[in-house]
Amino acid sequence: MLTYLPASKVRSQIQDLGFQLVAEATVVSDGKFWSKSVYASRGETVTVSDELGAVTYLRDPVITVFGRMQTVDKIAAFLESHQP
Amino acid sequence: MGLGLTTYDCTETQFVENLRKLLEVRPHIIANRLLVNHDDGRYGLAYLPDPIFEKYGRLAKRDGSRSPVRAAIPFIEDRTGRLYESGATVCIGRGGRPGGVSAPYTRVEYSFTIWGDTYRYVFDALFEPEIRLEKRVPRFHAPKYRAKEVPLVHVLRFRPPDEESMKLDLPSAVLTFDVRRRLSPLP
Repeated sequence: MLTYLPASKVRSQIQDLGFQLVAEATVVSDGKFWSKSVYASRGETVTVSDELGAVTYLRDPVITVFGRMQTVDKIAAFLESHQP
Repeated sequence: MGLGLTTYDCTETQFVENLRKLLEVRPHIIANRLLVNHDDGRYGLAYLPDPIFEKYGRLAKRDGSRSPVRAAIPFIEDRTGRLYESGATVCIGRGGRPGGVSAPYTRVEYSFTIWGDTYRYVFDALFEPEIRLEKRVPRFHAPKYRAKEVPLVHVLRFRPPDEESMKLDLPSAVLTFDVRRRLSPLP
């Protein structure tokens, strides 16, 4: 798996922030397969989508946040601390 | 062209960003959500990426993506009631005829219309496989079995994706209407 930051690390960090896994699905969007995990806590939602398949380029999971700026900042800080 | 009835496809990011821009100039926007289940063979087992195909690993095997898929053990596909004997072709890979076992899916379409043009974000959420051992008579084989001889066999079922995974979280100023189908505009 070619990644800068594995999706498993992102998922575990989001759970450390108090989010609970509420749904998982395989989604096809833009001709690509994605493993999508949805986390929720106190009216906030974070989704982590990781591209599946024969991926031959470095990529990161896609993180979507519907929540407070505080949550966005915490996730952004985690991502910055793991930059190569 | 005078009616301006163009539909534009967006990525998720583009769709949300377009809504955000609209909310700067409008207090409310109506977005439509259309969910339609499909079972048209689009996501045949031969074409699924390895991490997804592994969910079917108890029942079927293949050499790689786009290779023919064969039954590893006998199993019945619940939707068709068809029995696949061990070694039988379950799904033909590249260049093959359509058919065989495929994952059904829900097509999710979010859209909004502004000044006659429609902007939409579309994605497919695949049904999840469920494999159970059950006493079951294969379809077309019923006359062969008496009630006490019903065999124990693996059955492949599909579970619809979770509602939460098909939801796009949007600000409260975006009113999301669920719709059953989209009709062509009136002439």
